[in-house]
Amino acid sequence: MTQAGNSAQRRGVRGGWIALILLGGVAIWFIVIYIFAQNALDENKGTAFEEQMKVSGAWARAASAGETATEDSMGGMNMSAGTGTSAVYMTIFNDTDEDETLVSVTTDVAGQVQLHETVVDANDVAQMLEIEDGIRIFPGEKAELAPRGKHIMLFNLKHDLVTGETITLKLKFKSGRSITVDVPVQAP
Amino acid sequence: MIRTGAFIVLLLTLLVGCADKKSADQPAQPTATSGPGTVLDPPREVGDFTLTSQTGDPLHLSDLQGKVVLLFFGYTHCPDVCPITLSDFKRVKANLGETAAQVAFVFVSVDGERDTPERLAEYIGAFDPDFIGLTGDDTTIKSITQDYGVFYQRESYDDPNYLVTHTASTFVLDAQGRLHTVFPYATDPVLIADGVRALLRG
Repeated sequence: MTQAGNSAQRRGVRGGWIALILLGGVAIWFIVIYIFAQNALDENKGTAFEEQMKVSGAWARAASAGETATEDSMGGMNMSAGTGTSAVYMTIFNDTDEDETLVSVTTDVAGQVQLHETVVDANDVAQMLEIEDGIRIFPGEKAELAPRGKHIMLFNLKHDLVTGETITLKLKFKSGRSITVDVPVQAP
Repeated sequence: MIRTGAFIVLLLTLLVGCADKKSADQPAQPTATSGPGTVLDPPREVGDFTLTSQTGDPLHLSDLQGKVVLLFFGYTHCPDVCPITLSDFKRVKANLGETAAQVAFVFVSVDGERDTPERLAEYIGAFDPDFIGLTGDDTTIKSITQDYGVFYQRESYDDPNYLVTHTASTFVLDAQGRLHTVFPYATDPVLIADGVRALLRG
């Protein structure tokens, strides 16, 4: 080995270290940019999520609210929710990468909302059961809420649901995320 | 090696576990039955009854003699089974065309407490004002349902939003007022219409 050869080798090693440091620097920048991008995405999480939990074919059954005003003992009128009920149906497609479970629904038009399923036994007796654990939807799969099966049950309608109008529902998932859905009212 | 084996077992367990949960969470959707209903041969005599119709006037079952009667037991606060069946009744009526004039479509409430004649009128009217809605006190309803083998049960006495579990079959009476056919819940309306036509032909 000559002295010149040794020095060239040293230069080569030094060059390698510099390249490594530069690469490391670039990598750190990528991480920083990635984190910023994630934060920016989080701010738009609601919208991004709404685009990924795709609702189709939604409709609510037209229904009467029943008695909505009652006279109190002083002769005044109490405006309160009626006893009327309705059901909402839809297909929810989970286009996210995560398991999601629909746990609750709220809407301005009903005093109480529950997730229900109609079950008919061997004797042809129909029963409605509350789906206590929510409706689980795996990534890439859909939940069908359809007549004779699962539905969103509206209790204490605050006004009549009239064919042609649109009601708004907020669907809340176990992950804490939610979507807002406009649902047309259709003939019963 | 052992670790890899354990990992594969764990992976399989997870996969199988997921598959199990999936099938448990998503039971098969009930579909319309394709077969015709249960025909009673000979037709069974049923007792006459009197209930209040949606106009507030009393109606005797015998008033409907000469017509084929389709009877369904339900309640107006029922959001799924009952409106679906009344929508099916509409389809039966449409399928029958002019023949429908010889048929009475009757909804008997099993929730006399909430189903006033006014409430029934509003509810029935949303489907077809020609349909007949009947209501009455619980004792009367109980004796009628026993005659038809209909089960019903109010699910709560504390919650004003109580649900009522009930038999969802459609009962067909012939023109002499005898129970002729029982169609199970979710029978295709076309098959019910076929059954009614056959009955009217005698």
